[in-house]
Amino acid sequence: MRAQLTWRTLLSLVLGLLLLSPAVEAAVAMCRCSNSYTQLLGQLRSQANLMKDTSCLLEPFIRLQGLDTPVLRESCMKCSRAFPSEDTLRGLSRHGFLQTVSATLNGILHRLAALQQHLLKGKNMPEMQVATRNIQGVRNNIYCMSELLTNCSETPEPLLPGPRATLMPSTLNFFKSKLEGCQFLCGYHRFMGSVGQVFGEWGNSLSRNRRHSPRQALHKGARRARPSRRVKRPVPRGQLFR
Amino acid sequence: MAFFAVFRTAFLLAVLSWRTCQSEVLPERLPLTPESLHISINSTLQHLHLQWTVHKLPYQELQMIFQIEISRFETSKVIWMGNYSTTVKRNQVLQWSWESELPLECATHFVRMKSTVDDARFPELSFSSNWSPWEEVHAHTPEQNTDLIFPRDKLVEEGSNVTFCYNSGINQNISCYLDRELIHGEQLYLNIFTFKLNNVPFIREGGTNIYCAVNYTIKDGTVLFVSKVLEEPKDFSCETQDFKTLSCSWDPGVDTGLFFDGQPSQHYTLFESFSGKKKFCEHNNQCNWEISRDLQETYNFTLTAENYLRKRSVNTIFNLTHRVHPKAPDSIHFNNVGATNATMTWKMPALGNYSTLLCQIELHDKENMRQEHNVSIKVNGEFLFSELMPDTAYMVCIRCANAKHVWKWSKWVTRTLITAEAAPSKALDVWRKVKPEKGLHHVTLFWKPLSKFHANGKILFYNIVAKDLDKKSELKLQSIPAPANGTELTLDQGSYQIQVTANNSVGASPASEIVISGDSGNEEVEEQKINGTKDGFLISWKPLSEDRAGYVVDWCEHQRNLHCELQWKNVGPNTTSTVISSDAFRPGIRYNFRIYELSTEKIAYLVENKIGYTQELAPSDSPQVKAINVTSHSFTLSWKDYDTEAQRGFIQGYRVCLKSKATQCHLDSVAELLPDNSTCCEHAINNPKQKIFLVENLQPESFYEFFVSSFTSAGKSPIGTFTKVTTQDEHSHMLMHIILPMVLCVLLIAVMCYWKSQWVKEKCYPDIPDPYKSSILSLIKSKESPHLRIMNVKDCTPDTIEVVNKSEGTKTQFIGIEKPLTESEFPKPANLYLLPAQDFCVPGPCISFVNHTYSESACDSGSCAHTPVPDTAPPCHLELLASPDNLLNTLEKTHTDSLGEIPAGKISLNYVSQLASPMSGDKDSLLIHSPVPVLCSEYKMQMAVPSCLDSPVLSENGSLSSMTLLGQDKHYH
Repeated sequence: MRAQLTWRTLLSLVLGLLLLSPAVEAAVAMCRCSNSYTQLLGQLRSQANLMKDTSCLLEPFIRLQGLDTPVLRESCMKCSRAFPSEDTLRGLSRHGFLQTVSATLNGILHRLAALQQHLLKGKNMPEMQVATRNIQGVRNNIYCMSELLTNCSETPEPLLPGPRATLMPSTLNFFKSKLEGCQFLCGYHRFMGSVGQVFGEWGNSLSRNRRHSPRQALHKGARRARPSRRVKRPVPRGQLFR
Repeated sequence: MAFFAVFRTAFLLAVLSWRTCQSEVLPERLPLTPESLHISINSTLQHLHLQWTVHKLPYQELQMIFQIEISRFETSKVIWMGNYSTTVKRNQVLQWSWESELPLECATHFVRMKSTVDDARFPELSFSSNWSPWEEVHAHTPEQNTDLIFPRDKLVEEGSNVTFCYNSGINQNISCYLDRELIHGEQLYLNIFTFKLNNVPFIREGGTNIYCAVNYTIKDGTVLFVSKVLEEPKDFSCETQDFKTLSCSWDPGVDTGLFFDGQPSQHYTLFESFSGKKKFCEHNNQCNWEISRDLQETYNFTLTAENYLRKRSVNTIFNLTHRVHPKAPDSIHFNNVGATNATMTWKMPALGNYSTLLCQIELHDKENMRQEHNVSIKVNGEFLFSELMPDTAYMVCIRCANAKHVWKWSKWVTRTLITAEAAPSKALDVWRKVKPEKGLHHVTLFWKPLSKFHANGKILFYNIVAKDLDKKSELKLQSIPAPANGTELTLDQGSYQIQVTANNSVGASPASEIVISGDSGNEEVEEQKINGTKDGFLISWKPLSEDRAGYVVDWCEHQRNLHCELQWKNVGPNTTSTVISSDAFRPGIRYNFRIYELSTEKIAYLVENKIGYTQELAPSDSPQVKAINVTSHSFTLSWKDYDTEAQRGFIQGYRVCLKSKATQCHLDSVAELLPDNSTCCEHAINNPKQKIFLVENLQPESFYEFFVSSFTSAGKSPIGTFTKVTTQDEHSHMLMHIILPMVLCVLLIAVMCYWKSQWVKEKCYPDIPDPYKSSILSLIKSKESPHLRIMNVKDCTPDTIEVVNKSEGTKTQFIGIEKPLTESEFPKPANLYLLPAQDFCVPGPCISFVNHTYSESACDSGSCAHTPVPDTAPPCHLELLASPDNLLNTLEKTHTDSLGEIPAGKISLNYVSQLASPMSGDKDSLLIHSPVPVLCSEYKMQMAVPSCLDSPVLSENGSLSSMTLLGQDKHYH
């Protein structure tokens, strides 16, 4: 009985640590956060521009999966629409934009892991690892930027729904999984391009608050991209990380 | 017997009649028809799986044959017929599978069957049943409407044949591709097309994509995963290092894994048949097997490699003791390490006492293996090394294996063994250079360092002991720390025996002896030229005496260096020639070889002296030539400073190249074409000692150019700049003979004149003129003026002498005039002032006259300082002209003439005299600038004072005398 209690305690401790890990990560990130808005913005722009390059991930994937044919490439380039469109992102407040990008990147991380497991059978694809690290880096910078905006009294806003569910692979045959993975990566690069564009429109001063009408943008984005109905109804932040 | 035959016939007839009767009755109810036929599909294996039963089996079991028909699309399109023979038991569900080449999803299949009893026990049942009804079967697809291509995600081995089919549906312009290639399928039925891939290759782990599209819009696709063929494990073997674990390893070959769930990397299992144990291996290339405690002696292992498509197995059977691979020896130590021996100990880990080990020991020095030994041990080993070299680093390598059956040796283990030092074993090779000087011998000793083989340790110092052989006294000179290869000694001219030893930490080497005799260094032997080759110099000599210990040939390694790096070679007593070779020998360098004969008393006598080059080169520089004795028809060239010994070969002579306007060369020269295409006349000098050359038969006042080059057997020195010479004029020589003596004569006369100038002066221009000899006298006489007469000196009282500085160009002011006088205004004649004996301010008339005779330099310019004309004239200035106007004019002319001869700046000694009374009748106009007339009525003694005195002369009473020194801006009284 006593041993059982000990195991339970240990288990709860481990679970507690696991649950706390995002908080720990955030704390670590915060400790390392730069206070320079310009520096952070510059880094985010550079990272986004780097990650929009399809030669970083999509092209190696296409070659590895034998999709480098005119017909299949055409299909690959029908990028996944599970990502928020550029108009949608542009319509968000800065805080909302950061949260949305962070949540989307989190979903991308999960999807990349699934791709790695399903389509590569865990075999090493260096570009995938690099992309994962880059995404984590962007998320850290987004966290820091978010902290910086919060300190400047920008009120956090409700976020767009996390795309995680839509980014997860469906249980299709292998060929369709390949195409879907390819289209997902295409969408990922396009999304990062959009993120870079929006960051590029941010002012170089922290005090200048660029803000479009979120509703208008949402409406616009939904009309163009139609990621899902949930896009129109922002959900609380907590739901994103379920 | 007949009855029996009749009975048998009757029986057969009865049976036949029964069968005929039966065959007529049974068709509606044949009992053995297959029933309950159920067909299932295994899409992965493309199998049709049939299950059925045979009802009302008359016996417990029957051997039956089932005839099966399979149709595709329609029952009438039978694609396969075959028999399935089996023993059927009562109530048994029969099963049978058929593999379809075409994916089953591509078409509807129909199956029927009938049975036949084929049992010898029951021949009466040997008839076929009716066909069962056709059974239709459809393959189930997950997405019935969208899946067009089959099979889905097919996994095959490399080299297989695969048939695909696709359903074009309503799309008429559908195109299907295999990766990039367009597929042209064969129509199978209506809109069903098929194509077959033969001998498919492995392309990528991600599989080969097969897809159909309409206008670049993909309708469906599938992936053909082609796996590499699983290879049989190679080099499968097992071994133990500790009798606890068997380590089995193998080469797995290619990895057959794909990006596909159905084909992960192959896995391996190990099965041991004697124990019946099996183990799944975690790694693809090795597996560990626990050895049981009872030490099973023999093992029979089967290694099975397996993937989804194939299994491959290999087997090995072995005795455990034959698979011992010992670990490397450890705890290796060297004990009792001496100069020539040492003991090594070691341990073998973890094998225990199960087996005897054979250990192999190798001893290497830097270059080679010196010793090899085999030692048998159980656990601990020990070995004594002997015959080692002192102070030597050895590499000791050791490895071990099972002595009974060498399966594998352990890894080599290497340790370094350094033996102790011993005293040097060989005497030094010593040589000397002796330089006698001022009754002493400066001896430079050289020795070659001992080789490591003979040094037996680090040489710490060298001891040099000199013994005076005449006085029999021993003088311990010095101990020189290593590294040194020589020293210098200064000895008197007696005979000395010098001993040199090398010493390390253990002891000294045998002494090396050399004797310096009184004659050493004074030997003179004629130099002989020898020819060297690139391999060196062959040197031979003649022995001096019969009783000799050997020869030494010495030379300088780098001849041109100031410091001679002396080299020597010892030659045996019976040898009279040797080859001296060295990597340091260079072409164009002169080497000097001296051959010494060593007496039995170790005294060296110079035998021969040879010089030579390994290869002669052309001289690098030409002589610096001077042209001397240039005449109108010849000049002499000289290059005596040219050092022939410093050249790059033996100088054999010179070539004098002469360029002139003349087109023809003289008979003793030849025309030579120069690099600049000009020609010169070349004179050859074949005597290297001749360093002077007379160029003759030249034209006067002609321009010549010459150049002298030296030459060796290898060629001439490079041609440099020509030196230019112009021969002299033909008459200049004669002129020189005339002009030179004339100039000399004139100079002699001038010197003579200068030498006798005083005498001439006294004779011609005395300092104190005789008035009676003056020209004035003649003037006086001619005028016969009663007022003019000659003043007798005796009638005058000497008064004073004034030194007047007559500096031309210096503007002089007279006091009271307040106006500078220009040179024209300045009174040019030197005035004789009549000065008062006392204060010049005392009023009184003062008469002066101009004495032109005295206006001469009082002293030469070399000894006198420049004294300017006084700036301030005496305050009482009374000038008197003692002659009438015409006389005055004459005097002025004379004055002007005489003034012109007086050098500017020279100081005149004016003679001042005093008259008794002023002359009456003088013109008032002459008494200019005389504010205060002074009357001089007293005659005073005249004194001649050199004007060069620049300090006032004090009178006895301390007051200034009446002499006035008129220096530059100074007046002294």
